[in-house]
Amino acid sequence: MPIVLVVDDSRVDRLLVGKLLEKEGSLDWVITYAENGEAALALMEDVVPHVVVTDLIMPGMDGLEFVGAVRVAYPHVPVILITGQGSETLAIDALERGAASYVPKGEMADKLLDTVKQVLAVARADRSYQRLSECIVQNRLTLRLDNDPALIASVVDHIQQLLARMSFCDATERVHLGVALEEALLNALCHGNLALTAEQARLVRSELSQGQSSRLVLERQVQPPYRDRKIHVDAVIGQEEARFVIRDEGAGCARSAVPERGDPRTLERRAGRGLVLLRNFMDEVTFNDAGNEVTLVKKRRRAAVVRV
Amino acid sequence: MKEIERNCELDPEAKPGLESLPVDVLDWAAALKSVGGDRAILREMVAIFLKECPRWLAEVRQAVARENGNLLRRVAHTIKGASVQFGAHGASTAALRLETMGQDGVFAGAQEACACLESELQRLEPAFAQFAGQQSG
Repeated sequence: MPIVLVVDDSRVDRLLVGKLLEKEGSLDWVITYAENGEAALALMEDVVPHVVVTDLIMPGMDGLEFVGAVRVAYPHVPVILITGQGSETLAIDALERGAASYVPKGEMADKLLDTVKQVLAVARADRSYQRLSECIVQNRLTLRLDNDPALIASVVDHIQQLLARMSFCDATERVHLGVALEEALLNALCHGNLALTAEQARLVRSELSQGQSSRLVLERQVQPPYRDRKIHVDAVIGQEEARFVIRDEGAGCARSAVPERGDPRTLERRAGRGLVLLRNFMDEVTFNDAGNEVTLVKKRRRAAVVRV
Repeated sequence: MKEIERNCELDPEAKPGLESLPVDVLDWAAALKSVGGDRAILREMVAIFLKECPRWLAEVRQAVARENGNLLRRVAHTIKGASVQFGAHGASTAALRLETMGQDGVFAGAQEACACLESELQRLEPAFAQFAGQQSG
Protein backbone atom coordinates (compact mmCIF):
# COMPACT_ATOMS: atom_id res chain seq x y z
CA MET A 1 0.00 0.00 0.00
CA PRO A 2 1.97 3.03 -1.22
CA ILE A 3 2.09 6.03 1.06
CA VAL A 4 2.18 9.35 -0.77
CA LEU A 5 3.01 12.56 1.04
CA VAL A 6 1.66 15.68 -0.66
CA VAL A 7 3.38 18.90 0.38
CA ASP A 8 1.81 22.16 -0.69
CA ASP A 9 0.83 25.34 1.11
CA SER A 10 -2.19 25.78 -1.18
CA ARG A 11 -5.26 23.90 -0.04
CA VAL A 12 -6.61 24.02 -3.58
CA ASP A 13 -3.52 22.27 -4.97
CA ARG A 14 -3.30 19.80 -2.08
CA LEU A 15 -6.87 18.81 -2.76
CA LEU A 16 -6.29 18.50 -6.49
CA VAL A 17 -3.17 16.34 -6.13
CA GLY A 18 -4.83 14.11 -3.55
CA LYS A 19 -8.02 13.69 -5.54
CA LEU A 20 -6.22 12.96 -8.80
CA LEU A 21 -4.29 10.19 -7.04
CA GLU A 22 -7.38 8.87 -5.29
CA LYS A 23 -9.04 8.42 -8.68
CA GLU A 24 -6.67 5.49 -9.25
CA GLY A 25 -8.50 3.18 -6.89
CA SER A 26 -6.56 0.06 -7.84
CA LEU A 27 -3.42 1.23 -6.10
CA ASP A 28 -5.01 1.68 -2.71
CA TRP A 29 -2.92 4.70 -1.84
CA VAL A 30 -2.57 6.19 1.56
CA ILE A 31 -2.31 9.91 0.93
CA THR A 32 -1.01 12.20 3.63
CA TYR A 33 -0.66 15.95 3.50
CA ALA A 34 1.63 18.65 4.83
CA GLU A 35 1.43 22.36 4.16
CA ASN A 36 5.15 23.08 4.16
CA GLY A 37 8.57 21.47 4.26
CA GLU A 38 8.99 21.58 8.03
CA ALA A 39 5.62 19.93 8.63
CA ALA A 40 6.45 17.30 6.01
CA LEU A 41 9.77 16.42 7.65
CA ALA A 42 8.05 16.19 11.02
CA LEU A 43 5.50 13.78 9.52
CA MET A 44 8.26 11.73 7.92
CA GLU A 45 9.84 11.15 11.33
CA ASP A 46 6.76 9.07 12.19
CA VAL A 47 5.88 7.54 8.84
CA VAL A 48 8.27 7.43 5.92
CA PRO A 49 6.29 7.70 2.67
CA HIS A 50 7.10 5.79 -0.50
CA VAL A 51 7.03 8.98 -2.54
CA VAL A 52 6.72 12.72 -1.92
CA VAL A 53 4.90 15.13 -4.22
CA THR A 54 5.81 18.72 -3.42
CA ASP A 55 5.27 22.27 -4.50
CA LEU A 56 8.40 24.40 -4.75
CA ILE A 57 7.31 27.80 -3.53
CA MET A 58 6.17 27.50 0.07
CA PRO A 59 6.48 29.50 3.26
CA GLY A 60 9.40 28.74 5.55
CA MET A 61 11.57 26.00 4.12
CA ASP A 62 11.09 26.25 0.37
CA GLY A 63 10.85 23.29 -1.97
CA LEU A 64 14.54 23.42 -2.83
CA GLU A 65 15.63 23.15 0.80
CA PHE A 66 13.02 20.49 1.38
CA VAL A 67 14.30 18.35 -1.50
CA GLY A 68 17.83 18.67 -0.12
CA ALA A 69 16.69 17.68 3.37
CA VAL A 70 14.81 14.62 2.09
CA ARG A 71 17.78 13.61 -0.03
CA VAL A 72 20.02 13.62 3.03
CA ALA A 73 17.66 12.08 5.59
CA TYR A 74 15.66 9.73 3.32
CA PRO A 75 17.78 9.00 0.26
CA HIS A 76 15.47 6.19 -0.87
CA VAL A 77 12.33 8.35 -0.91
CA PRO A 78 11.81 9.89 -4.35
CA VAL A 79 10.51 13.44 -4.59
CA ILE A 80 8.30 14.64 -7.44
CA LEU A 81 8.05 18.39 -8.00
CA ILE A 82 4.94 20.27 -8.99
CA THR A 83 6.22 23.12 -11.10
CA GLY A 84 4.38 26.27 -11.98
CA GLN A 85 5.14 29.25 -14.11
CA GLY A 86 7.88 31.16 -12.30
CA SER A 87 9.43 28.18 -10.55
CA GLU A 88 11.35 26.72 -13.49
CA THR A 89 14.78 27.78 -12.24
CA LEU A 90 14.03 26.43 -8.78
CA ALA A 91 12.89 23.19 -10.38
CA ILE A 92 16.15 22.76 -12.27
CA ASP A 93 18.07 23.33 -9.02
CA ALA A 94 15.82 20.86 -7.22
CA LEU A 95 16.32 18.21 -9.90
CA GLU A 96 20.06 18.73 -9.53
CA ARG A 97 19.67 18.29 -5.79
CA GLY A 98 18.05 14.94 -6.31
CA ALA A 99 14.35 15.34 -7.12
CA ALA A 100 13.18 12.33 -9.12
CA SER A 101 10.82 13.98 -11.58
CA TYR A 102 8.42 16.88 -12.06
CA VAL A 103 4.93 17.59 -13.29
CA PRO A 104 3.88 21.03 -14.58
CA LYS A 105 0.97 22.35 -12.55
CA GLY A 106 -1.18 22.78 -15.65
CA GLU A 107 -0.72 19.15 -16.68
CA MET A 108 -1.39 17.39 -13.42
CA ALA A 109 -4.60 15.75 -14.60
CA ASP A 110 -2.76 14.17 -17.53
CA LYS A 111 0.62 13.38 -16.05
CA LEU A 112 0.61 13.25 -12.25
CA LEU A 113 -0.71 9.72 -11.86
CA ASP A 114 1.58 8.20 -14.48
CA THR A 115 4.58 10.03 -13.08
CA VAL A 116 3.92 8.90 -9.52
CA LYS A 117 3.38 5.31 -10.66
CA GLN A 118 6.54 5.37 -12.75
CA VAL A 119 8.66 6.82 -9.95
CA LEU A 120 7.21 4.37 -7.44
CA ALA A 121 8.02 1.45 -9.74
CA VAL A 122 11.60 2.60 -10.22
CA ALA A 123 12.03 3.23 -6.49
CA ARG A 124 10.58 -0.20 -5.70
CA ALA A 125 13.03 -1.82 -8.10
CA ASP A 126 15.85 0.20 -6.57
CA ARG A 127 14.88 -0.88 -3.06
CA SER A 128 14.74 -4.51 -4.18
CA TYR A 129 18.13 -4.16 -5.79
CA GLN A 130 19.48 -2.48 -2.66
CA ARG A 131 18.25 -5.38 -0.55
CA LEU A 132 19.77 -7.84 -2.95
CA SER A 133 23.04 -5.91 -2.94
CA GLU A 134 23.16 -6.12 0.83
CA CYS A 135 23.07 -9.91 0.51
CA ILE A 136 26.26 -9.99 -1.55
CA VAL A 137 28.96 -11.64 0.52
CA GLN A 138 31.78 -10.92 -1.84
CA ASN A 139 32.25 -9.03 -5.07
CA ARG A 140 35.27 -9.83 -7.20
CA LEU A 141 36.41 -7.86 -10.19
CA THR A 142 39.38 -8.83 -12.36
CA LEU A 143 40.47 -6.45 -15.08
CA ARG A 144 43.22 -6.21 -17.67
CA LEU A 145 43.46 -2.63 -18.84
CA ASP A 146 45.10 -0.98 -21.81
CA ASN A 147 47.17 2.11 -21.12
CA ASP A 148 44.26 4.48 -21.53
CA PRO A 149 43.78 7.13 -18.81
CA ALA A 150 40.04 7.27 -19.61
CA LEU A 151 39.71 3.67 -18.46
CA ILE A 152 41.16 4.54 -15.08
CA ALA A 153 38.33 6.96 -14.33
CA SER A 154 35.80 4.32 -15.38
CA VAL A 155 37.38 1.66 -13.17
CA VAL A 156 37.38 3.97 -10.16
CA ASP A 157 33.77 4.93 -10.78
CA HIS A 158 32.71 1.31 -11.16
CA ILE A 159 34.43 0.23 -7.96
CA GLN A 160 32.89 3.13 -6.07
CA GLN A 161 29.47 2.00 -7.26
CA LEU A 162 30.16 -1.54 -6.09
CA LEU A 163 31.18 -0.17 -2.68
CA ALA A 164 28.03 1.93 -2.50
CA ARG A 165 25.74 -0.94 -3.41
CA MET A 166 27.28 -3.12 -0.77
CA SER A 167 27.05 -0.26 1.76
CA PHE A 168 30.71 -0.96 2.41
CA CYS A 169 31.49 2.51 3.69
CA ASP A 170 30.09 6.01 3.86
CA ALA A 171 30.34 8.59 1.09
CA THR A 172 33.50 10.22 2.46
CA GLU A 173 35.38 6.93 2.72
CA ARG A 174 34.21 6.08 -0.75
CA VAL A 175 35.78 9.25 -2.07
CA HIS A 176 38.99 8.43 -0.20
CA LEU A 177 39.03 4.96 -1.69
CA GLY A 178 38.44 6.40 -5.13
CA VAL A 179 41.32 8.84 -4.77
CA ALA A 180 43.64 6.08 -3.52
CA LEU A 181 42.71 3.74 -6.39
CA GLU A 182 43.18 6.47 -8.95
CA GLU A 183 46.62 7.25 -7.53
CA ALA A 184 47.64 3.60 -7.68
CA LEU A 185 46.30 3.16 -11.22
CA LEU A 186 47.93 6.33 -12.52
CA ASN A 187 51.18 5.22 -10.93
CA ALA A 188 50.91 1.87 -12.72
CA LEU A 189 50.22 3.66 -15.98
CA CYS A 190 52.76 6.49 -15.83
CA HIS A 191 55.68 5.09 -13.84
CA GLY A 192 55.06 1.41 -14.58
CA ASN A 193 53.87 0.66 -18.10
CA LEU A 194 54.80 3.91 -19.83
CA ALA A 195 58.08 4.30 -17.87
CA LEU A 196 57.73 8.07 -17.58
CA THR A 197 60.16 10.03 -15.44
CA ALA A 198 58.80 11.82 -12.38
CA GLU A 199 58.80 15.12 -14.29
CA GLN A 200 57.04 13.60 -17.32
CA ALA A 201 54.49 11.95 -15.07
CA ARG A 202 53.72 15.29 -13.38
CA LEU A 203 53.18 16.87 -16.79
CA VAL A 204 50.91 14.04 -17.92
CA ARG A 205 48.84 14.19 -14.75
CA SER A 206 48.49 17.94 -15.05
CA GLU A 207 47.25 17.55 -18.63
CA LEU A 208 44.83 14.78 -17.68
CA SER A 209 43.45 16.72 -14.73
CA GLN A 210 42.59 19.56 -17.11
CA GLY A 211 40.72 17.15 -19.35
CA GLN A 212 43.37 17.33 -22.05
CA SER A 213 44.89 14.41 -23.86
CA SER A 214 48.58 13.89 -23.27
CA ARG A 215 51.02 13.79 -26.16
CA LEU A 216 53.44 11.65 -24.17
CA VAL A 217 50.79 9.08 -23.38
CA LEU A 218 49.52 9.01 -26.96
CA GLU A 219 53.04 8.46 -28.27
CA ARG A 220 53.85 5.61 -25.93
CA GLN A 221 50.48 3.96 -26.38
CA VAL A 222 51.66 2.94 -29.87
CA GLN A 223 55.37 2.41 -29.18
CA PRO A 224 56.86 -0.94 -28.26
CA PRO A 225 57.45 -2.12 -25.61
CA TYR A 226 54.98 0.19 -23.82
CA ARG A 227 52.01 -0.48 -26.09
CA ASP A 228 51.83 -4.18 -25.20
CA ARG A 229 51.83 -3.67 -21.45
CA LYS A 230 48.65 -4.01 -19.44
CA ILE A 231 47.50 -2.91 -16.02
CA HIS A 232 46.08 -5.78 -13.98
CA VAL A 233 43.46 -5.07 -11.34
CA ASP A 234 42.12 -7.63 -8.93
CA ALA A 235 39.50 -6.22 -6.57
CA VAL A 236 37.80 -8.27 -3.89
CA ILE A 237 35.16 -6.48 -1.83
CA GLY A 238 34.02 -8.63 1.04
CA GLN A 239 32.13 -8.14 4.24
CA GLU A 240 35.19 -7.41 6.33
CA GLU A 241 37.55 -5.73 3.91
CA ALA A 242 38.11 -4.51 0.38
CA ARG A 243 41.38 -5.64 -1.16
CA PHE A 244 42.81 -4.24 -4.38
CA VAL A 245 45.87 -5.60 -6.12
CA ILE A 246 47.17 -3.40 -8.95
CA ARG A 247 50.06 -4.62 -11.05
CA ASP A 248 51.76 -3.14 -14.07
CA GLU A 249 54.09 -4.78 -16.57
CA GLY A 250 56.81 -2.20 -16.31
CA ALA A 251 60.41 -2.82 -15.30
CA GLY A 252 59.63 -2.23 -11.65
CA CYS A 253 61.52 0.12 -9.41
CA ALA A 254 63.05 0.45 -6.01
CA ARG A 255 60.03 0.98 -3.83
CA SER A 256 59.79 4.00 -1.61
CA ALA A 257 59.41 3.64 2.09
CA VAL A 258 55.72 3.74 2.90
CA PRO A 259 55.14 6.83 5.03
CA GLU A 260 53.44 6.66 8.41
CA ARG A 261 49.71 7.09 8.33
CA GLY A 262 48.52 10.46 9.62
CA ASP A 263 51.96 12.02 9.70
CA PRO A 264 51.38 15.69 8.72
CA ARG A 265 55.01 16.14 7.77
CA THR A 266 54.52 13.85 4.81
CA LEU A 267 52.03 16.28 3.30
CA GLU A 268 54.75 18.90 2.92
CA ARG A 269 56.87 16.69 0.71
CA ARG A 270 56.13 17.19 -2.95
CA ALA A 271 57.49 13.86 -4.06
CA GLY A 272 55.54 10.79 -3.08
CA ARG A 273 52.21 12.57 -2.71
CA GLY A 274 50.41 9.61 -4.23
CA LEU A 275 51.97 7.33 -1.67
CA VAL A 276 50.93 9.66 1.13
CA LEU A 277 47.35 9.59 -0.09
CA LEU A 278 47.38 5.82 -0.39
CA ARG A 279 48.74 5.44 3.11
CA ASN A 280 46.27 7.83 4.67
CA PHE A 281 43.19 6.60 2.87
CA MET A 282 43.85 2.86 3.08
CA ASP A 283 44.47 0.64 6.08
CA GLU A 284 47.24 -1.37 4.46
CA VAL A 285 49.59 -0.50 1.61
CA THR A 286 52.22 -3.03 0.53
CA PHE A 287 54.42 -3.38 -2.54
CA ASN A 288 55.93 -6.52 -3.98
CA ASP A 289 59.70 -6.83 -4.14
CA ALA A 290 59.83 -5.96 -7.83
CA GLY A 291 58.00 -2.71 -7.17
CA ASN A 292 55.41 -3.26 -9.90
CA GLU A 293 52.51 -4.39 -7.74
CA VAL A 294 50.72 -2.66 -4.90
CA THR A 295 48.16 -4.19 -2.58
CA LEU A 296 45.68 -1.84 -0.94
CA VAL A 297 43.39 -2.94 1.86
CA LYS A 298 40.49 -1.07 3.39
CA LYS A 299 38.87 -2.58 6.46
CA ARG A 300 35.17 -2.23 6.89
CA ARG A 301 34.19 -0.08 9.81
CA ARG A 302 30.79 -1.32 10.90
CA ALA A 303 29.89 1.82 12.81
CA ALA A 304 30.52 3.89 9.71
CA VAL A 305 28.28 1.86 7.43
CA VAL A 306 25.44 3.94 6.12
CA ARG A 307 22.93 3.51 3.36
CA VAL A 308 23.62 6.05 0.70
CA MET B 1 -10.42 13.76 -23.22
CA LYS B 2 -13.43 11.69 -24.12
CA GLU B 3 -14.45 11.71 -20.49
CA ILE B 4 -14.13 15.45 -20.35
CA GLU B 5 -16.20 15.88 -23.46
CA ARG B 6 -18.80 13.57 -22.05
CA ASN B 7 -18.90 15.59 -18.87
CA CYS B 8 -19.21 18.81 -20.79
CA GLU B 9 -22.22 17.61 -22.74
CA LEU B 10 -25.59 18.93 -21.67
CA ASP B 11 -27.77 16.21 -20.30
CA PRO B 12 -31.41 17.33 -20.13
CA GLU B 13 -32.14 14.71 -17.53
CA ALA B 14 -29.28 15.72 -15.32
CA LYS B 15 -28.15 18.89 -13.61
CA PRO B 16 -27.55 21.88 -15.90
CA GLY B 17 -24.25 21.71 -17.82
CA LEU B 18 -21.29 24.03 -17.54
CA GLU B 19 -22.27 25.75 -20.77
CA SER B 20 -24.94 27.68 -18.94
CA LEU B 21 -22.40 29.20 -16.56
CA PRO B 22 -20.68 32.55 -17.09
CA VAL B 23 -17.61 32.13 -19.28
CA ASP B 24 -16.17 35.60 -19.48
CA VAL B 25 -14.04 35.33 -16.34
CA LEU B 26 -13.03 31.70 -16.47
CA ASP B 27 -12.78 28.75 -18.78
CA TRP B 28 -14.95 25.90 -17.55
CA ALA B 29 -13.61 23.44 -20.08
CA ALA B 30 -10.07 24.13 -18.88
CA ALA B 31 -11.23 23.86 -15.27
CA LEU B 32 -12.84 20.50 -15.93
CA LYS B 33 -9.77 19.33 -17.81
CA SER B 34 -7.53 20.27 -14.91
CA VAL B 35 -9.45 17.89 -12.65
CA GLY B 36 -9.48 15.06 -15.16
CA GLY B 37 -13.14 15.64 -16.00
CA ASP B 38 -14.33 15.00 -12.47
CA ARG B 39 -17.05 17.47 -11.45
CA ALA B 40 -16.96 16.37 -7.82
CA ILE B 41 -13.32 17.40 -7.54
CA LEU B 42 -14.08 20.67 -9.29
CA ARG B 43 -16.87 21.37 -6.82
CA GLU B 44 -14.55 20.79 -3.87
CA MET B 45 -11.88 22.96 -5.42
CA VAL B 46 -14.36 25.77 -5.97
CA ALA B 47 -15.48 25.54 -2.35
CA ILE B 48 -11.93 25.72 -1.08
CA PHE B 49 -11.07 28.53 -3.49
CA LEU B 50 -14.00 30.61 -2.22
CA LYS B 51 -13.03 29.88 1.36
CA GLU B 52 -9.37 30.74 0.84
CA CYS B 53 -9.91 33.94 -1.14
CA PRO B 54 -10.45 36.30 1.82
CA ARG B 55 -7.29 35.05 3.54
CA TRP B 56 -5.24 35.28 0.34
CA LEU B 57 -6.38 38.83 -0.28
CA ALA B 58 -5.68 39.84 3.30
CA GLU B 59 -2.15 38.46 2.98
CA VAL B 60 -1.58 40.21 -0.34
CA ARG B 61 -2.74 43.52 1.16
CA GLN B 62 -0.51 42.99 4.17
CA ALA B 63 2.48 42.10 1.98
CA VAL B 64 1.97 45.20 -0.17
CA ALA B 65 1.47 47.46 2.86
CA ARG B 66 4.63 46.16 4.51
CA GLU B 67 6.51 45.80 1.25
CA ASN B 68 7.22 42.20 2.14
CA GLY B 69 8.45 40.76 -1.14
CA ASN B 70 8.74 37.15 0.02
CA LEU B 71 5.20 37.03 1.34
CA LEU B 72 3.83 38.79 -1.74
CA ARG B 73 5.61 36.42 -4.07
CA ARG B 74 4.43 33.34 -2.23
CA VAL B 75 0.77 34.31 -1.78
CA ALA B 76 0.48 35.68 -5.32
CA HIS B 77 2.07 32.46 -6.60
CA THR B 78 -0.56 30.43 -4.73
CA ILE B 79 -3.42 32.54 -6.11
CA LYS B 80 -1.95 32.34 -9.60
CA GLY B 81 -1.63 28.55 -9.37
CA ALA B 82 -5.20 28.11 -8.17
CA SER B 83 -6.60 30.55 -10.75
CA VAL B 84 -4.79 28.79 -13.59
CA GLN B 85 -6.55 25.56 -12.67
CA PHE B 86 -9.88 27.26 -13.38
CA GLY B 87 -8.71 28.97 -16.55
CA ALA B 88 -9.27 32.27 -14.77
CA HIS B 89 -6.83 34.19 -16.92
CA GLY B 90 -7.67 37.65 -15.58
CA ALA B 91 -7.03 36.59 -12.00
CA SER B 92 -3.92 34.59 -12.83
CA THR B 93 -2.44 37.46 -14.85
CA ALA B 94 -3.10 39.91 -12.02
CA ALA B 95 -1.55 37.46 -9.55
CA LEU B 96 1.49 36.95 -11.77
CA ARG B 97 2.04 40.70 -11.85
CA LEU B 98 2.10 40.79 -8.05
CA GLU B 99 4.25 37.68 -7.83
CA THR B 100 6.83 39.33 -10.09
CA MET B 101 6.74 42.51 -7.98
CA GLY B 102 7.32 40.43 -4.86
CA GLN B 103 10.14 38.51 -6.48
CA ASP B 104 11.85 41.69 -7.68
CA GLY B 105 11.07 43.64 -4.50
CA VAL B 106 9.58 46.40 -6.62
CA PHE B 107 6.44 47.85 -5.09
CA ALA B 108 5.72 50.75 -7.43
CA GLY B 109 2.16 50.22 -8.66
CA ALA B 110 1.58 47.38 -6.18
CA GLN B 111 -1.53 49.00 -4.70
CA GLU B 112 -3.13 49.20 -8.14
CA ALA B 113 -2.10 45.62 -8.96
CA CYS B 114 -3.60 44.51 -5.67
CA ALA B 115 -6.87 46.28 -6.47
CA CYS B 116 -6.87 44.68 -9.91
CA LEU B 117 -6.44 41.21 -8.41
CA GLU B 118 -9.17 41.88 -5.91
CA SER B 119 -11.50 42.93 -8.70
CA GLU B 120 -10.69 39.84 -10.76
CA LEU B 121 -11.31 37.55 -7.81
CA GLN B 122 -14.59 39.29 -7.08
CA ARG B 123 -15.66 38.66 -10.67
CA LEU B 124 -15.11 34.94 -10.14
CA GLU B 125 -17.37 34.70 -7.14
CA PRO B 126 -20.77 34.82 -8.92
CA ALA B 127 -19.65 32.23 -11.46
CA PHE B 128 -18.38 29.95 -8.73
CA ALA B 129 -21.51 30.48 -6.64
CA GLN B 130 -23.71 29.64 -9.64
CA PHE B 131 -21.68 26.49 -10.33
CA ALA B 132 -21.86 25.42 -6.69
CA GLY B 133 -25.61 26.02 -6.72
CA GLN B 134 -26.08 23.97 -9.87
CA GLN B 135 -24.06 21.06 -8.59
CA SER B 136 -25.89 20.90 -5.28
CA GLY B 137 -29.34 21.56 -6.75
